Formats: sequence, C-alpha cells, structure tokens
Amino acid sequence: MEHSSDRYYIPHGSPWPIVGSVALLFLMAGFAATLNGSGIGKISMLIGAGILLFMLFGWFGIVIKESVDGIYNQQVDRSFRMGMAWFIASEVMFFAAFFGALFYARQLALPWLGGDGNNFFTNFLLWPGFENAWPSNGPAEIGGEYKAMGPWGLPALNTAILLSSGVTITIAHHAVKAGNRKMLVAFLGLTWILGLLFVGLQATEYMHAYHDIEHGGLSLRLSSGIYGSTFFMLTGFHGLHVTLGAIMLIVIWFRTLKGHFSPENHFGFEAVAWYWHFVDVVWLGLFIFVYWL
Amino acid sequence: MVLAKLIVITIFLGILASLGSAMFYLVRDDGKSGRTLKALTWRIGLSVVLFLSLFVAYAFGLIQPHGISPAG
Amino acid sequence: MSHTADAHHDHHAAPSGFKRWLFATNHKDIGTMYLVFALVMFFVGGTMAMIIRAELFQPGLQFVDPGFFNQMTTMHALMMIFGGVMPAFVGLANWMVPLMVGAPDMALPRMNNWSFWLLPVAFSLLLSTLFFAGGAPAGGWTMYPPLVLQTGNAFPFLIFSVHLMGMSSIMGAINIVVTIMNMRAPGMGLLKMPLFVWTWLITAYLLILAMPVLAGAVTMLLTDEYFGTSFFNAGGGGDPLMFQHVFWFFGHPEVYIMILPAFGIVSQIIPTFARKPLFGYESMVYATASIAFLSFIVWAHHMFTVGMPLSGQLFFMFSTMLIAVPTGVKVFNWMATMWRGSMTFETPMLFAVAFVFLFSIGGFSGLMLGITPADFQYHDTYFVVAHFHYVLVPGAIFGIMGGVYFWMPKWTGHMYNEKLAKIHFWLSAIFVNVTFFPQHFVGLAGMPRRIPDYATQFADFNMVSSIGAFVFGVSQLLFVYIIWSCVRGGEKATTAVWEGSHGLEWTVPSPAPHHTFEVAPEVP
Repeated sequence: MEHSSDRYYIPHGSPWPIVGSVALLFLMAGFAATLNGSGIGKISMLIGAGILLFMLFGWFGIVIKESVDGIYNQQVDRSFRMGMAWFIASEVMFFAAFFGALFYARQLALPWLGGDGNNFFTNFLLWPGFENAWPSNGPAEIGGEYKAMGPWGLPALNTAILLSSGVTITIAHHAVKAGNRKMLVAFLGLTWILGLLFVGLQATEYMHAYHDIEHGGLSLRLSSGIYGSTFFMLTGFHGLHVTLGAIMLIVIWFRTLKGHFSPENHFGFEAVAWYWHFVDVVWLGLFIFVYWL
Repeated sequence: MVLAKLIVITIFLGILASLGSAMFYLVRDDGKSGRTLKALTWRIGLSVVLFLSLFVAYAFGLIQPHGISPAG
Repeated sequence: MSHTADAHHDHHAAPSGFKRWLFATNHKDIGTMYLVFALVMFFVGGTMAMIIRAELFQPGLQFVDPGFFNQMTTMHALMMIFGGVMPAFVGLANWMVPLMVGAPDMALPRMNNWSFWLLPVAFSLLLSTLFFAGGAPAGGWTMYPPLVLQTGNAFPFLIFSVHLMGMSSIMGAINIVVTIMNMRAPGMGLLKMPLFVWTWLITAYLLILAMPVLAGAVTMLLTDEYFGTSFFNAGGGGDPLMFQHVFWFFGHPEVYIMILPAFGIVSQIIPTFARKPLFGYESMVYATASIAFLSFIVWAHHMFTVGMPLSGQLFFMFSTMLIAVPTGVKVFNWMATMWRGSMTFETPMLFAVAFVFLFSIGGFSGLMLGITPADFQYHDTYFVVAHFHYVLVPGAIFGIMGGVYFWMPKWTGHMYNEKLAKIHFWLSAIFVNVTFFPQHFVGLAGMPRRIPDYATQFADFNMVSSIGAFVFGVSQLLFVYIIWSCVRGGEKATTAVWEGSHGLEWTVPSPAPHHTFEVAPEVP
C-alpha cells in the first residue's frame, strides 16, 4: 500500500478489452436476431452476457489488484477521476436526449397537433377535435384508455428513499475521509439497501401501472402514446442506472469490508459515490418534470 | 402558478450547479480537499428543500401534478 | 509485487505475434490499428461510391436496382463517416498526441484498446446486413423515421452498430481528453500545446457531448419499432420531426468532429513548410472553441424545409452565418502564416494548401445553404452533395492524407517516395474537383440527391463527375502502394524529418521507439 511508483503505470497488454468486444458481438447480434424473431438469438445473448460478466470480473479484478498493490500513483488516480467525470458527462447527455423528447412533445408537438401556431389545418384536417393536454397519448389515443401516474404514494416515497440514500452516502463519504471504518461500513451498507429498496418499489409501481384499470391498475404502458413512452423510457433508464449503481455500491461495500479504502486513497469509493449522486439528481429531475410539472 | 414552477426549476438548476461543481472539484483537487464533499452536501441539502417545497406548494394550491387544474 | 510489475513494464520491445495487436495497450500499436482499419473502411466505402457513380454515369437504370442503390448511398455514408474519417482521426490522435505533449502513453491504455476493438464488431454487424434478405439499411445515414422503420431485418443491426460506434467514440474521446489534461510534460502549458492537440481536445469534448444524444435518438427508433413507443408517431402525440431535431443536435457537432482535427493537422503542416511560426496561435485556439460552441446551436439549418416557425428559421440562419467568422479567422491565419515564408512544397504541404483552398469552397457553399430562402431551393439536391463532399474529401480526407505523409517518416523511419506521392496528390486534387464541382451545377439546376436515375439534361455533368470519381478512386490505390513501400523501406528518415519541423514529436528517433517519453521531457 505504501509504495507509490513515481512512474505512470502503463499496463503490459490486456486480454479483457477484446473479451469485452466478443461479448458485445454475441450480445448485440443476439438481441438483434431476437428482435427479428430468430430463436437462436436468445442463446447468443446469454453467451454474450456470460462473457461480459466474465470480462467485468476480470477487468475490474486486475484494476483493483493493481490499485491495492500500490502500482497507481497520484497521476493515474487523477486519470481515473477525469475519466469517470467525463463518462458521467456523457451519461448526462444520454438522459438529456430523452428529457429533450419529453419537453419537445409537451411544448411543441402536442400544441401543434392541437392547432397551435400556424398549424390550424393540421388540427382541422388531420386530427379534428384534438385538444392539447398533458398527459396525452396523442390524437389517435394509442394504447387506449389509461390513467396518469400521480406523484403521491410510491413516487414520493421513492424520492424520499433516494434522497435519504444521498444523505447516507454523504455521511459515508465523510467517514472515509475521517478514516472511520465502522461508520463507513454502516452507512455504505445502508445506502445500497436503500438503493435496492428503490428498485423494488419502482418495480411495484410499474406493475401497478401495467395492470388494467378494471383491476385497480392504471393501464399505463410503454405503448400508451407519448406519455407512456416518455414515462417508461425515462424512469426505466433511470431504474437501470440505479440498479447498476446499487451493484457498484455493493462491490465497494465488500471492498470496504476487506479494508480497501484509506482517507488518502479511495478513488473507487468516490467514483461510485459520485455516480450515485448523479442518478439521484436525475431522479429529482424526473420527479419534477415527469411526475409533477 | 408559473412563479411556483419557476422556483422549483430554479432550485433544480441550483442542484445541477452544485453537482457540477462537485464534479469539477473531484477532478481538480484529487479528492484531497473538502470542496467536493462540501458541494455534494449542498446538493443534498437543496434536494431536500426542493422535495419539501413541492409539498408546501401543493398544500397551498400553487402547483398541481401535470399542471392540470382540478375540475371547476 | 509492485516492484516486479514496475521492472516489467518499463521496457521496450513490442510483444510479438497476434497478442501484440489483440491485447495492445501501446498507443502507437493502437494508433496503427485505427489507421489501418480506417484505410480498409475507406476502400469499402469507396467501392460503394464507385457503384453509385457507375449507376449515375448515364441516365436510366443500368447496373443496380434502385433498392440496392439506396443501400449503397446509406452504407457509403456510414462507412466513410464512422468507419473512415473518425477512426482515422482517432488513430492520428493515438499516435501523435502522447508524442506531442510528452506523455509516456495514452492515459487509459486498456480502455484505448477497447475503443478500437469495438469498431470491428460494430462494422461486422453493419456490413453483415448486406447479405441479408432485404439487404442493408437503405433509408439514408440520417435514419429519418418513418422511412427507416421500414428497413426490415437489417434495422436492429443498424441501431446496435451505431450504439457500438458511439461507445467506441466516447471512450476514445474520454481517453484523449484525459491524456491531454493529465499527461502533459511539465512546462507544457495549455497555450503551449501544438494546435493538433488543441483541436483534438475540443473535438473530444464535442464527441462526449454529442454521441450520447445519437445513442438516445436511435434507441427511441428501436423502441418505436419493436416496443410500441410513440416518440416519432404523431398519432401517439410524438412527432417524426422530433427525430430530426435530436439527430441534428448530434449531427452538426459531428460535422465539426470530422473537420476540427483536420484544421489541427493543417496548422501543424503549414508552419513547418513555410518555416514560420503559426500566425495568430491564440486566435486559432479561440476560433476552434467558438466553432465548437456554435456547432451546438445551429442544428436546424439541416431542416429549414420542414416548416418551422419564422423565428426559428431566423435564429438558425444567423447562428449559422456566425460560424463563418471563426472559420474565416482560421483561413486568414493560415494564409498569413504562408505570407513571405520560405515555402517548399513537399507532399504534406501540397495537401495542406489544397485543403485551405478547397475547404474554403466547401465553406462558401455552406454559407449559401445556410441562407434560409436559398436553402428552400438547394435542399436535398446535388448542391448539398457537392457542398459536404468539398468539406469532407478535400477537407477532412486531404487533412488526413497530409497528416499521414507528414508523420509517416516518424512512424516508419523511412521517407516515402516523394515523386509518387506528388503524383498521388495531383491526381487526387484534380479529380476530386472533376468529381464534385459539376455536382454544384446539376444541384442548382434541380437534380435531387439519393436517386439512381435523373433527367437527361443532367447527363453530361454526371458523366464528367463519374469519370472524375473513377480516376480519384483508382489513384487511391497509389496511396496504399506508397504507404506499403514506405513501411517496407526507403531512405532513412532523420529525427527531425523536416527542415522546419518543431515540437516534441520531432525530438524522438525515427521510427519512434515502442515506448517514448517514459521520463517526461523538458519543454523549452
């Protein structure tokens, strides 16, 4: 741990990237074949997912080992930090595309369909009688009758949960800097438990949404026009990121149990913590723009 | 109505700014200084304020979910 | 443990056999793979261009059926943009950025390997669709719905290959940003960096911010097709136009992603052969940054004819005009650098001078297209085709070729055959104009793009254009031969290679050893 090389560490060649490429070949080709209705697609996807897991274990394994062995110096650490920061920036832009779709539909597409601006004849000839409103499944009422997802109940509870997890990770962050391992383990553990709780409740909310109105549900589905599309794509991709973030938190938690992080050297922790703050803020954006405004 | 929405969005922008500055310090200070943590603490605090202000605004009838006013 | 690892990686010789390439973490090896891959894709895409020009040699349908013709136009664009130009620039960055900033390697060497090896996967997926029943994607590289949703079995392969190209680009860009921001030798301040490094830094930011938006857009296409969403379906409250907005929000920065590194290369070459420092270095940096910023607020000039509000048309027209200012700064700086320099015209310089001249033609036709009322006439005609081929072929591709001739002695340790290279240049420079200049005329006269047949009044210019394309295409074989023979042997290159060369990359021996700057150099 003590030894820190003054040279920038350049690995000597690594099999993991090419393994990852093979994994993605199987995964993507398999998924595409499945979408085309081919039976072997699923097998290919399974193989790909398996290889991908193998790759993740191998790649992260060697990086963690090198980190623990003290091969990385300050400068390598900074490269990782910058890399993570810009990776998250790219994630922000990915979500921005979907938020953009939401704003576009609400502020432009639906008003135009309702005859706004110079679109009187669009409305009069193509969709007579359609009035701009939100939520909407469009003038053709794609997906049929549905109810909107309100902000009360599960969504509000989930917001509270995710915010609490933001508080706990911040406390854990203070703890790792203070070298208080007990506190770190406790609050990091609490964070991933809250994360999994969020995912579980989100799944419950989805099931509630998907159930028919007659059976006490909302009949709200991915196919419920632009409202269903934006609702499920935004919350779905967010849920995926929370799941990934929770898995990363669990990995970091186990590393903490093995005594990995010190007040000086804890990039792995900070990267995951930062990622967690990012998914947390995305959720706040969702809660405001998808559930409330 | 519109003012309440603007306030909510302003607080959200504040959260984004604090998160962004946390990212900046994460890289700039190599996690050595307390600035990253301070910015993140700000962003948590603001988030809680935002969450509560949504409820308060609703209680006073300033905002409605999805902007739809209740019938009548 | 750590000591053995240290002792291990310090040294030298390249590992041998297939592992050297498959498991590569060395920036020079990865750069070479990028460049070779780009060259292969350049010929694959070029073959498609030859098929297009063969079909357009005469009016009427001769060689291919219209469906296949559409596949060719679509695939030609995807191959050249994502397979040719972008990987070539990343390859040049891989090779040269660490050498220019005095870094031992790229900052994240394993990820560097992955960003390369995702490309063969992406293009295998995409090219395999040529053999599908129903063929390859044929709805245009811009993938506008609802047309692209009729693609058939190739559709998910198109989407996923775009995802993989995006992943590759983002990882490559992150690596370049981190290398530049974190790996510079002491004393290499930001405003001391060579301009190629600067333009690539800004390009990398564009990639990080633009590519995820494309990933989002094609994901929406995928879910619209297979999972019942209504993003681009007006019946469901979405809007097919929305795709065009999201796509071009990516697409316009993408245009600059393909030209800014070429600006950088030209800014390296011209001072070297004019034997004068670059005129207005700082203004070049600021101009590049301004172009990058503006690229995010001009996207709708690609879609003036869709019927947007007048305020939108005005905004996008004026913001587009604004780009001419920083671009003009650059062009005048290059000219001022040459002014009263003691110039010699080795092949890289020839390509650079041709770049300045011919890229400006493409820039001016771009201004014409940026004028909203005029664009109503030009939109979707061969005028547009002529415009973007002028900025991409004698722009981006000439930049790449100039860069290859400029740096090849450093890579291989041999001088290339100057006489053959000059022949290659003159053939390329003459026939690129024979190919694309007449397309301005047929475009202005109303010939639509992406159509396998045309009215007979366009016949003469199209035949000239096709002849130009064939000669241009064949002369690129000369390029391959020159590279091949330069790798095999030739006059030994000196360390500085060029008389007027300046910068850290010219202080390492030729060929550059497998590992360079393991100890950070002194920057004067």
